[in-house]
Amino acid sequence: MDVGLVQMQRRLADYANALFKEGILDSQYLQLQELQDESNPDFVVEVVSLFFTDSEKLLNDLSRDLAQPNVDFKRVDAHVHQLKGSSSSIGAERVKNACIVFRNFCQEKNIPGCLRCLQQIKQEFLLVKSKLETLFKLEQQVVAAGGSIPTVQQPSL
Amino acid sequence: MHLRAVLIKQMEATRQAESKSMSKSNAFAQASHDVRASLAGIIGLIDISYEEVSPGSELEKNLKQMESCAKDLLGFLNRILDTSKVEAGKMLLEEEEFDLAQLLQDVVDLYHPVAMRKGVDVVLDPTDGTVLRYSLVKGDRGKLKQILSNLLSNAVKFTDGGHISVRAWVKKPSLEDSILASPRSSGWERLMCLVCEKKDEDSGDEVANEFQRSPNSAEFVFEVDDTGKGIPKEKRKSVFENYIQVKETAQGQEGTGLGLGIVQSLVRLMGGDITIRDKDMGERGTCFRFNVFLAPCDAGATKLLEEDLEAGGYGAACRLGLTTRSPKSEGSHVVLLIQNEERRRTCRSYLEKLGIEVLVASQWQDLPMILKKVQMKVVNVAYHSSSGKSEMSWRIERLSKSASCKKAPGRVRGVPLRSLDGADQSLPVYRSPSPKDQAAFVLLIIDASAGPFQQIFMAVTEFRKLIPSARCKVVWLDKPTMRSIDLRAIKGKLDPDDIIMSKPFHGTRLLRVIRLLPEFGGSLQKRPSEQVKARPVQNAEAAKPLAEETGNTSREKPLSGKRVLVVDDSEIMRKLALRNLSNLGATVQLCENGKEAVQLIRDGIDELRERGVSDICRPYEYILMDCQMPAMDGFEATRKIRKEERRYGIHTPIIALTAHSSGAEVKKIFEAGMDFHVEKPANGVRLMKAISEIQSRGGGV
Repeated sequence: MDVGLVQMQRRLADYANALFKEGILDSQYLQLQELQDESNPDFVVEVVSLFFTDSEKLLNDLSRDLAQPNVDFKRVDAHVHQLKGSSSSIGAERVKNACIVFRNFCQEKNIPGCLRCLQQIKQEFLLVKSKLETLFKLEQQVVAAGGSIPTVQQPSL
Repeated sequence: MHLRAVLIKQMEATRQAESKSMSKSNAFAQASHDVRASLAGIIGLIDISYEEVSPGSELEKNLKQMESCAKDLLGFLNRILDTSKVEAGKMLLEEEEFDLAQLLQDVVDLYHPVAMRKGVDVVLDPTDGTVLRYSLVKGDRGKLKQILSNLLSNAVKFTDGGHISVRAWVKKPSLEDSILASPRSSGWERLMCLVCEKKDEDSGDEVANEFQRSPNSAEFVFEVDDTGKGIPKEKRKSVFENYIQVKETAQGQEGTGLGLGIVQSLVRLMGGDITIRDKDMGERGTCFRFNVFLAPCDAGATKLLEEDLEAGGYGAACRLGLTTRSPKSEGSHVVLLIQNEERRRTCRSYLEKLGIEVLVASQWQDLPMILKKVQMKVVNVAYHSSSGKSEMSWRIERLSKSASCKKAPGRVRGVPLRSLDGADQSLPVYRSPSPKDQAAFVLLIIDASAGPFQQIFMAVTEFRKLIPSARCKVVWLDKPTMRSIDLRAIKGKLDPDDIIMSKPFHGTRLLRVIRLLPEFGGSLQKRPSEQVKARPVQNAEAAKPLAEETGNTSREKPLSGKRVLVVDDSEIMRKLALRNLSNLGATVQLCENGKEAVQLIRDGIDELRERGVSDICRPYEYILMDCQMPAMDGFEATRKIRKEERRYGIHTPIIALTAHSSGAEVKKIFEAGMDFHVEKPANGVRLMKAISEIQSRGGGV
C-alpha cells in the first residue's frame, strides 16, 4: 500500500478528529457524511457550500439590521433563527451555540449584547469555514491520490 | 598492625572514590538543567512552526522528525538526571491514592502492541487475585510506573517470541517482616555502620533517604517474567550497575544501559529490593522480581488479615467485589479457546480459583470436541430436571423441533430446552421451572484469531442450536486494529448478545466477562431478536451509537412507493430532507413555504378529481412541515390543509419540524392539526421513528 497515501489519510483523520474534539463540529456533520455515497459523491460539499453562502448573506443582513436607528428585533430574531437552524443541520456546533446566546439578547432587546454576539458568531463562522475548507482540500488530495476518505468516528467524550 | 594499615588505606580510598562520584553527580545534575532548558525551547519552537506549515508538505514531515528526535533527547536526559538525582539523594517519594490494578493494566496494555508486533504476548497474570482486592493504594504512582515500564521495555527488547508475564500479589505478613519493620537503629545495623564507617552525608545511597514503613503498609510483590534471551548467572549482579549492558545480547539494541540501575534505586527507595529469579530447568528467559511497600486504602481495612489472603472460591469472589447470586445454583461452564499458552494458563487458573469450571481447547481443532463435552454436561442437567419423559422420546422431540423451527420462523424460535423458562406455551409437557432446575450457563471465550474464523464460527453456531439461547453467551476476542471477524463473511449472523472484546484479554476486561456469569451478577435476559437481520454486534469496548442508529436493518426501503411533501424555507433543510427521504425510498416533493404547500395539496386533489377517481385519497402519504416560515408558517398552512381535506374525508399525517420542543410549542403543533413533531435537524432515524409511531397508531399505511 502506498505509504504516502496512508499518511495522507492519517493526517486527514487526525484533522477531522481534532475538529470534533474541539467542538467545532458535532455528530450532525457525521450524519451528512452518511448521506454521501456514489450516487451523491459531493453531497457534503454541496450542503456545506450552501451553508457558507446562506450564512454570509444572513450575517450581512444582521449587521445591517442592527445598525438601523429603530432595530426590528423580530426581523433580527428571524434571521438568527435561520442561521441557528442551518448551522445546526451541518453540525457547526459553536456557531449554533453562539446563535442561541444571540437570541437571548434579542429577546431582551439588548443591542450592545446583540452586537457582541454577532461578532462572536462571525468569528465562529469564519473559523468553521476555514477548517472545513482545509478539510475538503485534504479530502481532495486523498481522492486524487487514489484513496478513499476514511470514515470518521466521533471520539467518545 | 600491618592489616590495620591496609584497612585504613582501603577505607580512605573508598571514601575518596565515593566523594568524587558524589561531586560528579552533583555537577551533572546542575549542568543538565541548562541542556533541558534548551531542549524545551527547541520543542516549543517546533510546535509553533507547525501552524505555519502546510499540511502534508515535506517541511511538516521534517518538523515531525525533529520533534521526535528532540523528545528522545529529552527522554535520555531525564533518565540520566534521574540517576544523578537518586544518587545525590535528592529523590523524594510522592504519595497519592491510585488504583494499582488499573496501573498494571495500563502499563501492560501500553507495551502490548509493540510486543505483539514481535510475536510476543504480554499477559497480566492475576495470580491469586489479591492485587484486585487491594487495588486501591497509597504510594508513588509515577515511580512505580517507571519501574514497571523500564522492566517491560527491557523485556520487550530482549524477547523475540513467547510471552512476557506481569504478575503481582500481596505478600502475607510474616515474622521476619515484622522484625525488619522495627526502628532502623537495630544492633546489627549499627555494627555494620561501624565497620564501614559510612557517614550519612557521604553516601548517596538509599541510607540517606530512608523509607519510612508505616504500620499500615503491605508488601506488594511484582514479577516481570519473559521468555527471551536471558541473563547469564555471572552477569546478574552487574546489570543493576549503571552504564552496564549485557553485551552479547545488546547487539542492535538501543538504550543507555541506565534502566536497571534506576529501577533498583527506585525500588530501594520504596522500601524493597529487586532480584533476578532462577527459572526452572529448560525454561528460557529472565524473571525479575521486586517488592515495594504500599498502603492499601480500604474503608475499614487497616490491617491485612491472614484469611483475606486465602485466595480461592466463593469467598475470594466476594472479596473481589464480584457479587454472587446464589452459590448453590448449578455452576457455570466456561470454555476457553485462547491462542497464547501463558494467557490460557493464567485465565484458566484464575477462573478456577473463583470456583468456575473451565474447559480448555488448546487449539481450534479441539473446539468441537470440547463443545460436545460441555453440551453433554448441560443437557444431562436439563434432562434430570424435566418431568417424567424418557430420554429417547425427549431427544426425538428435540430433533424434530429444531427441524420444524426452520420452517416456521414465526413460531417458537430456538430449542425445547427454552421452555424450562416457562415462556413457551406450545410445549405443555414441561412443568415450569424452579430455581434448581435451571440448566447451567455456558460462556464461550473465543480468540477470533485462533484459527480459521469461519470454521470456528460454524462450530459455535452448531453448539448454540443445542443450548437454550438464554443460557449461552459468547465473547469474541479480537484485535481492535486488525479484525479477524469478517462480518460480511458470516453474513452478519452474530448473535446480538455476543460481545466482541478487544485484546489483550486481562484485567478489567477479564472481570467484565466474569460478571456475565449468573453467579457473579450476570443477567439472563435476552434482547428481543425478532427484528434482527444484520444488526451490528454490541461492542464491549467502544460505543458505536451511530452505527447502531443508522444501520439498515432491512433490505427493503421503508418508504418505497410513498410520496412525501417537504415544506421548508431553508434550502439546506430541503436538501437534507430530500436525501434522507430518498434513502428511505420515498418520492419527494419540495416547496418553500406554507402557501406553496397548500397550493400543492389543492392541485393534488384536483388532479385526482379530474382523473375521475371515485375515492379521493390523499395526494401525499406524509407531509414534513417546518413551523417557522415566511409568507405562511407551518401552523397556518396546516389549518388550511385540514380545511381542504375535511371536504373529502381525507387526512394526511403532518410531521412538524421544530427547532425546540417546549410544552407551549408542542401544544401549538397539535392545536393546529399536526400529528407529530420531530426536532431539527431531522435525520433519517428521527423521521423513521416518527413515521413508525404514526403507523402504529394506525394513522396511515
